[in-house]
Parts: sequence; structure tokens; C-alpha cells
Amino acid sequence: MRLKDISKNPNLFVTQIFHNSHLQRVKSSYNPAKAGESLDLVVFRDALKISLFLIPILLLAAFAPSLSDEEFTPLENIELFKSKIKTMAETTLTIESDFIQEKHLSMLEEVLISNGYFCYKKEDKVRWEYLTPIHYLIVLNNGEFTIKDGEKVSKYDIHSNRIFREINDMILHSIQGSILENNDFTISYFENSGLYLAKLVPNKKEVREMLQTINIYFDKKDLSVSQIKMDEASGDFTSIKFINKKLNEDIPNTKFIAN
Amino acid sequence: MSVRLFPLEKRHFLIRDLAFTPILFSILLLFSACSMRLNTGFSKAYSDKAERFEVFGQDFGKVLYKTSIDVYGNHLSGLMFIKNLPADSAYRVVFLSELGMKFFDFEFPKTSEGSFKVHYCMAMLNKKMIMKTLQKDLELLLMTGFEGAKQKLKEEDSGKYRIRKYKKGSERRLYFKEISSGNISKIERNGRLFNKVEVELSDYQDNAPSRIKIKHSNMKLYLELSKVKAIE
Repeated sequence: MRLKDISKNPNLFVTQIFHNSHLQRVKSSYNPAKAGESLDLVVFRDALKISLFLIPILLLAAFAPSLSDEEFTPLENIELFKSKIKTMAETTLTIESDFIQEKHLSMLEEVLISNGYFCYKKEDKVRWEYLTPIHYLIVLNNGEFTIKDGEKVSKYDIHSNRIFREINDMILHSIQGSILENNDFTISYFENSGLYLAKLVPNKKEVREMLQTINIYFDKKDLSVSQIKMDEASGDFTSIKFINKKLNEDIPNTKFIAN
Repeated sequence: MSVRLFPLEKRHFLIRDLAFTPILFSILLLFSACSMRLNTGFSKAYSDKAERFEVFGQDFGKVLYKTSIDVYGNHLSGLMFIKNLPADSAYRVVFLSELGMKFFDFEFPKTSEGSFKVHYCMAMLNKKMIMKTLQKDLELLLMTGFEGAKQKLKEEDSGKYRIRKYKKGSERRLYFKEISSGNISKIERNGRLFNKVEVELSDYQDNAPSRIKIKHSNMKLYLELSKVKAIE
């Protein structure tokens, strides 16, 4: 891409750079009618789906112990596990939890830690909020997708935006317990005495370049998610642990307003 | 049905505008020459070459910035982590989204013996133009990638700033250091015609500026970094 190309069409640069911006896209003049036609947006959607994959997974989360280091063996009765997950998801009306996100930069021997708050209310309300070291908020509520970055608030209507509609559908599928049927991943299942482990490997090569595997650890006692670990090819990884969880307690609708 | 892009009278305006282009261009050049002259009111030379003149101090270890990029009316954000690696004589810069997804991981050598390394770059971001822009902007901050440049030391007539000018090929870098605070508060990079980058730096703490703004004149690209915290 040359400079004169950019001067003719500034969007060239925008679309190139936005290939990697999976969540932070805020486009005031965004035209949802063209979303289905743009290759850039399709790529953007894929990246967004990966990033938000953790949100549907979290809808299954409840009380969980800390992750065990005990060795895992392949799970024999996968269908039984899946049906248990589905039943658990169907009976979950609300979830509230704090979370600790750790980004491990292996070569630099650094761990960047973020803390936050997450809540869900059936059918379509989610709040995913980083509190430290910076404030960053994502809210899904009744077909509206809101991102609050500092003082900047951006809203998307999922009914007129195909990308966000797909994300919304993923969330609904997860509530119905069908997230583990997702065709975008090859999933293998393992267990030890206290945990189930679902190992998701992305089917698309370009996605694998970003994320090699997503490991989801379920507590055997109540089938809640205790931890998610996302591995990158470089050896770096992101882990999210859940603490102070509350299940099926009333959450006011005001929690699902970006403020 | 035929559609006329411009009404007839508008087209006349276009032709007339074109005729004036060389004149306008000359006036623009004149003004830019004047502004350059105003900007470089540094006639006093000084010779203290050993004076510390750096954005990130010698004792700088690592820092985390909340980073936002506004490009052609769009906004994206994340966290930028900068670490000094004295053993490798290099800086490492990692840019992540808030959700932990890595955009890039670059290594900038401090000497001409090393070379710029891309440890990771998201495939979709891995475009020559973008990479070069990011590399150049970060090199400007880290004061690297300019080995062998000709150097001039000047002091502003009012005595407020000391300036170091570096020239290498068609590229010039100017670092403005506030004499009162001892910190670099402004950087300029001038490339080929109209290719100019301005950097503002402020609120120095723990050997690093807390706020950094990078503005490009030839593209609608604006970066803003604000320090989150000094990492232990």
C-alpha cells in the first residue's frame, strides 16, 4: 500500500489497520448495509468473534475451585458431559463474578495483570468490565452492543449489523449449551479427578496464528468454568480466573447500562 | 438518465482553481519556509555533547501505557508495554488489546550492531506501510534507528530550550529539551515534502514521560499514550 493510494482512498489505511482492531472499532459513519460485502469486515468479524469467545464461555461460569495441576486423561463419555453443560446453562438465570486476567509475556518474563467484574442476566444481558489498571467496559443489552473506553462510548445495533448479530447468536447458543458444537474449532475433551478440560483448536489457519488453543476448565462439582487459558504460538498466553461468584441472584437491569 | 457530477458553473470553478494551483503552491511554499524559519529560532550553539538528552532515562526499566490510535475518524485502543533490556542493548515494545490479544511485539536495538526485530505481528497488521509508520514513530520516541546521523547542538535564543538536530538522508529529527525541567518536551521529524511528525511529551515520572501525543501531518493519524503505572 503506497502513500498515493492512501491519499486517493484514506479508508485503505483504515481498513488495513483495522484488520487487527477486533473490539475497538468505532466508526461514526459506519454503514451496516455494506457490512456483508466487505472482506475487511469479514476478517474483522472473525477477530471479534475470537476475542468475544470468552464471553459466551463465561455464561457457563459459576462457583469454581482453583485450577488443579493434576494430570488429565481423555474423557470417555463426551455426550454425557455436553448434556450436563446444556442442562446447567438452561437453569442459569444470572451470574455475577470478579475476574483476574493475566497476560504472560514469556520471553520478557513479564505478567500483566488486569482485574474486573462480569455479570450476566438471561436472555441477552452481559457486562464485562475491566477496573484496573485501566477502565474498559463492554455491555450487551437487548440487541445493543456498547463499548466504553475512557469517556468514549460507542454503540452498535445488532439488528442492523451482521457482525454483531453473529456475536449475539453465539451468546444465545452458549446459553442453550451448544457452544461446544461450534464448527470453527476442533474440540477434544479431558478430565482429572476435579476438572473437565475442553481444548479448542481453531480450524482456520489465520485464526491459529493469533490463538493456538483455548483451554476451558470446568469444575466437576457444578460444571462451572473455573479458568480459561488462551495459548499463542510464541509461548505467551492469557489466563482468566473467576472469583467471588454468585449464581442466580437478582441483578438489577441498571447493571447493563454503560456508565 | 445521465448524471452530471458537477453543475456547469461548478466545473468552471474547477478549471479556474486548477489555473491558480501553481500560484497557490508558491504561496504555500513561501509560508512553509517562513514557518520553518520561525520554528528554528536557535542561533546559539553549545558544545556539551556529554549532556544527557533522552526521552527514557538511563535508569528506565519498564512502563505500561494506555494507548489510543485515531485514524481517519476511527478509534482503536489497547495497552503498550515498553521494556528496557540493557543486557541485549535493546528496547522491547509490545502492544496488546484490553482483552489481552497481542497486536505486535517489536525489538529496537540501541546500537548499529543490532537490527530491528519483529518478534510477532498479527498477520492482518503486517502491512509494509503500517509497520514502517509504527516502527518510525517508536524509534523517534526511543531515540533509536538513527545511528550515523549528523548532529547539531543549538540553544533557543530565549534560553528556554536546547535542541539537538539529527540529519540522515532526507530525514531530520529535532529533539527539544526544556532547560528548566531537563526533560525533552517536543520532538519533530521531517521527511520528504509535507511528511512531518510532531510529538509532545509531558509529566515525566520515573525516567519516562507520562503523556505522549504523536501527530502526523500527512495522514490523519494520531496516537496518544498515557502512563498506567510503573510496573514493579
